[in-house]
Amino acid sequence: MKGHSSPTRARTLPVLLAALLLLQLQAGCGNEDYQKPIKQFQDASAVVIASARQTLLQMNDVEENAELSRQVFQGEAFDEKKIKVRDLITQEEIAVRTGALDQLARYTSALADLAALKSPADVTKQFQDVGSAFATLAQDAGKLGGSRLFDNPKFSGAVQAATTGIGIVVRAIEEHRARREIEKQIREQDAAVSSLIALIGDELQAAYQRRRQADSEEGVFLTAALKLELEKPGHGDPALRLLLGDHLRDWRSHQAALATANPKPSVEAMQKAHQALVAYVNSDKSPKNLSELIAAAQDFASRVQPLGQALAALLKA
Amino acid sequence: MTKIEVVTQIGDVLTQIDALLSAPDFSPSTPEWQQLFALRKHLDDQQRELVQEIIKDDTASFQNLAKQLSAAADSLKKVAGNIAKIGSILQTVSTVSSVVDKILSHL
Repeated sequence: MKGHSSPTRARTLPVLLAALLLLQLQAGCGNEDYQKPIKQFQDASAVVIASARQTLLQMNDVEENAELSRQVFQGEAFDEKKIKVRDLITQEEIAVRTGALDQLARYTSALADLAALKSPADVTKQFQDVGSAFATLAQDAGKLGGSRLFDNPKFSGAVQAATTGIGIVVRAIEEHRARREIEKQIREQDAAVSSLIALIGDELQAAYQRRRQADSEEGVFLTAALKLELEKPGHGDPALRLLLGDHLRDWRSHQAALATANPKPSVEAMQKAHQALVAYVNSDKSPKNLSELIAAAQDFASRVQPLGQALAALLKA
Repeated sequence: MTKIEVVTQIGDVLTQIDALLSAPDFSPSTPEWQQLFALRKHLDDQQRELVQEIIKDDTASFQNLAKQLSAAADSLKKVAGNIAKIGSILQTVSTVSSVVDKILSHL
């Protein structure tokens, strides 16, 4: 009855473990200059993106496995059609959403380089690459059909708005406008970028809820099957009881990891860290501003660490 | 309350129901267990439908229904720890489900 396997498991686990290791190493560093929060942001973003991909990729497996378990428990004949009808998300929907998170992280990295007082000319290519990637994402998002899970037109609108906003920033850099003017554009266009991060957070929360419910239902099937066996004369078949016990042990062993695998709080922390960076870009780069940026990045890294550990545990399970 | 918060609240109710269904002194052979399990399945289907639907959650009527859902979920919390009160539990879960039906028909 168990098994939320994913074809990307082999790829996701090393990414998660590497990013987690980096986060832990940075927690021990004493050098609190601006490079540290930026590196923390990048590494924490890698964990969030991996977790988002994992959460979305597992959606269909979770729904299918729940239906299969229900059929088995309720003594129904195996019905593949009923199982497949539970699929909620397409590969295209997953690709566009994880692609958006990836580009949001790259946009923030480009902002970080600008905040490091690199000349706008030095970061032009970085911004242009992100701008082009967003334009492609907006096209891909616009092609998504009706979803069985998410509000694709709303998502496409949010990607379009972020693409337009980032495009304005890219143009300001390409036209070699004054630093102050570029920073003003970054601030003014950021509402669209933040809205997109928030929307992705909401979608991931919904996906996580469905996983939580399917897993909880699995526990009901297992305990009920065991109780029914125990009610039989002589407490039923010992071999079957042991088999059910094994499944229950597996189920119990990943409950703690599942409880902390909600990606939404990490996406919210990512949004806050991004906003802190935008504020820093627009500030006089005083020690106070820097300390606020460091605090936001530290909070992001701290929130992501348990998520990364939970996902690594669930991938191993 | 947003749609996602309502989805989460339904999830919390489902988790409470699952804890009851898994309780050692509540046999799956009883009609009450079967009834609660059927309600659980219905509520799970409703949650999945709600996740899928495009809902305008910033209207007064949605907020009013969300408040009713919170009240029903709170009532369940009060009785959920006691299998002896299975009658009240079934009634409260039915109320939760009927509020979610109203939210879904509000689309």
